[in-house]
Amino acid sequence: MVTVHNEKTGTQHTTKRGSVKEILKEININSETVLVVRNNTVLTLDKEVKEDDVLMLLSVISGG
Amino acid sequence: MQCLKCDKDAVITLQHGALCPSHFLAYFEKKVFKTISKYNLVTSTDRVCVAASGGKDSLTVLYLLKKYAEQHRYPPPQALIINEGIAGYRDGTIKDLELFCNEHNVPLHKKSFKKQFGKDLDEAYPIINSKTKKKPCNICGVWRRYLINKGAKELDATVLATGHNLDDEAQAVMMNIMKANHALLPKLGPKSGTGTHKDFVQRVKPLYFCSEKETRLYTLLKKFKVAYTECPNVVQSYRADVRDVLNQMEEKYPGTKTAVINSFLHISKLYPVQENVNIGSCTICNEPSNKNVCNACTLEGML
Ligand code: SF4
Ligand SMILES: [Zn+2]
Ligand SMILES: [Zn+2]
Repeated sequence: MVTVHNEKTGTQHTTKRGSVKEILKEININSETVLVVRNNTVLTLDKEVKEDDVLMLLSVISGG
Repeated sequence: MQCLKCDKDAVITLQHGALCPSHFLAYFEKKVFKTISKYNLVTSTDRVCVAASGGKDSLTVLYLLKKYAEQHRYPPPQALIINEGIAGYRDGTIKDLELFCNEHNVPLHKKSFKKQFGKDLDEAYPIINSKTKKKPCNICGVWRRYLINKGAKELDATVLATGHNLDDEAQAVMMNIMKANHALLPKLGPKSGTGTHKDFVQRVKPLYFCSEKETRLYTLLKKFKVAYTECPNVVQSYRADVRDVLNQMEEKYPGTKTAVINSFLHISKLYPVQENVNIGSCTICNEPSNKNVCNACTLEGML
């Protein structure tokens, strides 16, 4: 499984492996609103995420 | 995906191709500098004040205006922050901004609702709301605009730069169209309110063509310290609904937001330049106002 941390909501999801695009779709996040980071590297949507990878979603929308 | 310009891994996919970190940084800076020069946002004689919040947009504007000034040997920018007095929110972003200004040698000036109006937003809101039903953001917006303009004038600034980005502007264009606020449309653009009252400092938006996503990536790659914080008063406003729709469209049809802005810039050439020369002054505070008493003083009068 892939673990996805969400900076904005502080929540954590686990999903099946797949491309970044598929994973965002699976957890219902618009790809325009986040940067997806793995091991301090920002990933493009086509990147394949492997089993046991940990992703961090950084919100690009600032509040207030 | 591979970078369009080298064999490194890309970190972002743009309309014209994907870019690696170093090529993205170069692309982003070039885009901002081109906006500044093409629209004459800053010239050699300008004294620039940046309306800062400590968020990603204002840090980026501050950093790049400083870099631009150094390259062109222009006077360096100063930063101005308004403390609204919102518990659990603004204190954190002020710290981030202080650190940043210290590190980059930028003079930082502060103004607060408490000092100017006698009360923090948190204190003023229940009082004003009980009389007018106004929401926190209505009060916050009026007082903040007022203090930013006043603060910039006190610093003798000729230009007030804000962190408004492509997303903000595309949202504003769509909102004004959908609400038929035609009078407000000419106020948008990279250099808004051209030809207005002498007591209004000229506003400019160097990040006009940069999306939220690009700006967040820029701050991340530059390792600027930006904490993710959200004002507790944020609500699902009309603007937030427009933002969500635009993001859905952008995801499905890349380039939508830029197209909105470019259409607007094209159409706006058809509008006559507004000359608000007849605007008067507030009889209480003497700041520019089209009424006897300005909105900021009216709100203060309710406390
Ligand atoms: S969300 Fe409203 S109250 Fe909070 S900073 Fe923005 S305008 Fe002010
Ligand atoms: Zn490259
Ligand atoms: Zn007044």
